[in-house]
Amino acid sequence: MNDLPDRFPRGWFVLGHQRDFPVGETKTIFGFNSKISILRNEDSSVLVDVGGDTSWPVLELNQMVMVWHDTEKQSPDFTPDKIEECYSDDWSDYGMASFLVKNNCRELIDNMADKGHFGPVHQAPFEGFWNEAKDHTYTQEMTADSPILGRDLFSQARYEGPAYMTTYMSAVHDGAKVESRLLVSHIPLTLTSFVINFGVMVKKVPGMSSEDEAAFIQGYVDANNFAFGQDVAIWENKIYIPDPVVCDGDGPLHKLRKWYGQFLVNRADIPSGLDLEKREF
Amino acid sequence: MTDQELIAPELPEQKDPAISGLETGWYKVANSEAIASKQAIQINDFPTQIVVWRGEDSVLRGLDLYCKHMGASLACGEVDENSIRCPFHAWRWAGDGQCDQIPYAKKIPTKAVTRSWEVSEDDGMVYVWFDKDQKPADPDGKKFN
Repeated sequence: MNDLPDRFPRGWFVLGHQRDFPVGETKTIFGFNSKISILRNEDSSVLVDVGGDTSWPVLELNQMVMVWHDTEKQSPDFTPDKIEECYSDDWSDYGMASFLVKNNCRELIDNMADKGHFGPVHQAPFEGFWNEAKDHTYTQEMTADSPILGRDLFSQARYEGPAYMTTYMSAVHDGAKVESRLLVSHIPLTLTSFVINFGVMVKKVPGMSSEDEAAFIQGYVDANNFAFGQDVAIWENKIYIPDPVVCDGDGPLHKLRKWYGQFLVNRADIPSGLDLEKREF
Repeated sequence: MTDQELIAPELPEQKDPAISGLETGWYKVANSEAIASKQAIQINDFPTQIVVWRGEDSVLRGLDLYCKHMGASLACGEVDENSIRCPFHAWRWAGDGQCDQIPYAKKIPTKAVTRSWEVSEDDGMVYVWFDKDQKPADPDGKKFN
């Protein structure tokens, strides 16, 4: 038997970029086993209807429209941090891309602690690798050297809840430092499929034309698309090992999965001791 | 493919071979020519899914398909010497089921063992031994095509 979760996790889920929901238009997508309609009213507020239910809390933050999924139907426990770069003229807007993955959305989370896959899957062996868990956040810091995403790579990736992850990344491309912000979000369609919506924004390079900038962002979106493609090839041809045998070089996978588990149970059933002090693995 | 199959696919699992009800013997799983030197193939038509590969020494070996570490398909991996290396974390598995190399670990965990299947070749065909009680292979055992 596949040991699938009995629900979708509790948290904020990105429905899409703000610009994709213009005033007066209704967009329909599929998620949480339901048809979801998203309407932008004349007063620019957003109404979200999930299978006839309009009570899901909605948030517009960091250029994204999000909904709060909660089996217990309570108020959101947290709000993701504001990212100043999302409101700065020194940075581009997010370029977005999305694709379907045929697996349970928990597969996406393992990457946070999975330092061992960067070499074989992404040809990017890490140099340093840190993890930290605190309340609803889980943070990974990494230094690496990647032929795809850049040399002298530093990244700090943080989940706020189970489905909203943002990354600050800096790398050297063609001798120049490039700073970027990634978004990795997803919407579960069913318990065995989800759509990843990811975004890339870059710090503008002074003197660069808007055409060159757009091409540059697209190049970065493509590179990230490629890296995700490498993960998806694995995800769509694997089984879930609930209690893996890990080796001394693996990250804190069991700890990470316990942290993620808090979003799959009622609040009253959340165990204590889920935090992890920042340390190197 | 229907919408339902697209968005609600059944996820794979390593099937329990004991419930197959098949009798003891050698089961044909492929033609010899389907597995070139240093190639691996996935076998579904067997009591459980397995990977069968041909090592540098030309000998065929077989293991449970899914890696015991994090569950990736070993048939998507690469044959290295006479072992097979998982595409996910590069753990390398020998034909006897022992993990024999982890590039990023100091020590291989003692529990890093997977199920091994005995493979033989005869007259251009590849057979895998099945016995529900996991008794060792009988070279003269019954063959099923």
